[in-house]
Amino acid sequence: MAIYGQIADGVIIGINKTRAKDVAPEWVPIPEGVQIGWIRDGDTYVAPPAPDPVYRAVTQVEFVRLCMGAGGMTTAMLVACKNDADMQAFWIMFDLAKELNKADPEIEPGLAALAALGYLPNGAQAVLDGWPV
Amino acid sequence: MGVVSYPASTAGIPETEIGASYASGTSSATIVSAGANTNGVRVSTVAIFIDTLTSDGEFKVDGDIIMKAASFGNSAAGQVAMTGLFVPAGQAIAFTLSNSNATYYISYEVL
Repeated sequence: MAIYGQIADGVIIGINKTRAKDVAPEWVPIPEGVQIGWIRDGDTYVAPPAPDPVYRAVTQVEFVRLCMGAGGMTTAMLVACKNDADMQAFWIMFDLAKELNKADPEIEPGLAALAALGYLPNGAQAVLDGWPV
Repeated sequence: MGVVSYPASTAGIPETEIGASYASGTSSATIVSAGANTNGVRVSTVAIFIDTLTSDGEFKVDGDIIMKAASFGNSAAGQVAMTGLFVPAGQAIAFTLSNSNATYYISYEVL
């Protein structure tokens, strides 16, 4: 059985595995295993890059759990950082937010501050890396 | 997928290799051209799926619309399917899709 692909703008948009002796001009022979969405690169075909993850918003308690889980924050650290004068601006914004998104402008500097003050033993990046999708 | 071969000695049946062919895609395409359909085509299953309000898809035999999937009302998804169609020799099988949010699937046998 011959395998043909339909290609538009260098991307496979159709696959036809057929025993027909002749195929319409829009079909070109492709190797076995190529799938819809693959990209033609010269004479070869490669799978498309994985899409960027879409991070979901988290609630306030989920954020704290993220800090305590991935970030390594202890309950004592949680209490301490909540009362730390250097973190008050962050917590004000935290209390105002109905939900927290990874891309919010306060998240990355806030986590960096928590880490710098010793409240995130695993570092700010660990919390960012653990953000749910 | 096995291939069934009917020997020429079978009374009244010419030697014909029958095996399923498959196609799917997200753009308009001619699956079997009229010229390639010399002995008829059995369409085992055919389906069209759409997932937005702005897409539709048509399954055509010899240029005629045999089956169509389209959005309806507020429904952003639609699907149609049918089985067991025989397309006589000389007739083309094709899909016309409005955009890449429509997808077709077909299994068929070129006789």
